[in-house]
Amino acid sequence: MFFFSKVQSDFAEHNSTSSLNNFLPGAYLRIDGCLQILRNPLSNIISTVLQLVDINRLSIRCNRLSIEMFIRLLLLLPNLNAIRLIDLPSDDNMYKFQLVNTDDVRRFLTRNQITKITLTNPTEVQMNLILTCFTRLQSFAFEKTSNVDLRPVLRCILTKSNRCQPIRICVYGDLQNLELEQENFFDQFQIIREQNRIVIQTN
Amino acid sequence: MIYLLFHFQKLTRLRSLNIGLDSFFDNLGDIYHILFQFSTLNYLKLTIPDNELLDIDFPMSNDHFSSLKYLIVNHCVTLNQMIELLQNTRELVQLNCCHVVGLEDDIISTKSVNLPKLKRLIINLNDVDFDEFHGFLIKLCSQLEYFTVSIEGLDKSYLDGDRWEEFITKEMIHLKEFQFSFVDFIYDPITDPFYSSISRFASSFWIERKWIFGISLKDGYMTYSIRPS
Repeated sequence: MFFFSKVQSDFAEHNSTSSLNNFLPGAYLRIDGCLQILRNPLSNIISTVLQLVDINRLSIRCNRLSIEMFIRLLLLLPNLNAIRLIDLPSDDNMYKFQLVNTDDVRRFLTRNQITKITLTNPTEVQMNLILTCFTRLQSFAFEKTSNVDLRPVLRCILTKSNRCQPIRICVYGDLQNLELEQENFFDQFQIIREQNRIVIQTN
Repeated sequence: MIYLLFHFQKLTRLRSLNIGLDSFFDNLGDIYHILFQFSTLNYLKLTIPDNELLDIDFPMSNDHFSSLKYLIVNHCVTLNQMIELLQNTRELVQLNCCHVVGLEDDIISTKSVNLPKLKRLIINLNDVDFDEFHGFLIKLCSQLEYFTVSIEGLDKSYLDGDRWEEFITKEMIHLKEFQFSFVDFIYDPITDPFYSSISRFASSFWIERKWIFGISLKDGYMTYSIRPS
């Protein structure tokens, strides 16, 4: 009848094993559905409430969300630190999401403080756009299902990310066939294999 | 049904009973009265899917105390009916009230409720004012360690984080775990002053206990929730 399911909003996948129960202060926001209501953001309950609460974690289903709407939402959440994107748009649609040089986008690119991101089976195209949008990312978590090769995505992050900041990537789920140690590229990074996840860190 | 229950009463080792009725039109008090006489029963769940509110009247003299430790009331009930039900259930450790509804102008009963062993309360409220629920909760919450409340309704005062903080600090000093959800319609106008108190759910009181405040948006509804980390 009511919502009480264990919401995956704690971003525990970004914690180290020794601190899996780390408590993150601040509130989380979970959005599951279309956000057309944000078209008129000053006159509805969502924008008003979001301004009242210090939200620093967001979990959102993206496949029906336009980039304009998404950025408008993110601008309402200036203290956002961690984001989980579920059902990313396809590569074709991602190409259409070339960032327009609007005031909203400029403000978003300057102000967003997001350092943690969680994705499921991202492609290289999707990852490229995400790295362009969220320039302060330091911690990446990927849920991997079978038959998906995440190595191009990992290479993309480790090549493009800001090397001034340490980078941490956690991959969990179906880890079969993710043989990183056999590639020279990954030699320069610390790879930690744990029971049900692989962590790759820059030194 | 009542005839069947009289037969069950002879089962001297009966510990657990889960009853589901497609529908029921008589006085539910008769059923509970018999079930409360079962001397070995620890667990009772009574489910009636109909959303009709039924009478729950007990016999005037009823001084038999039930052995029940776990009671799940899975049918429509008011808080005053719950108070009547709880008059003879001193041994309760856990109480689930799955579908509590409010009645217009209902004033909470002055009867006391004695549940010294009640550790866990799970309750779903539909259109029950916070003042009314406050009057109910204060009767049985002193020993609670786990408290889950889900609310649907128009009374936005449930969103007053300071009021919950004060209530928990004063009346539920043993509380270890608090789960709360309040479902709001997105298109409702924000005219209520209690919206400004939402931010208080993220104050140091909640952070110290590692109780996380969250908002969930789905299908035109906004759910505010507190849950343990």
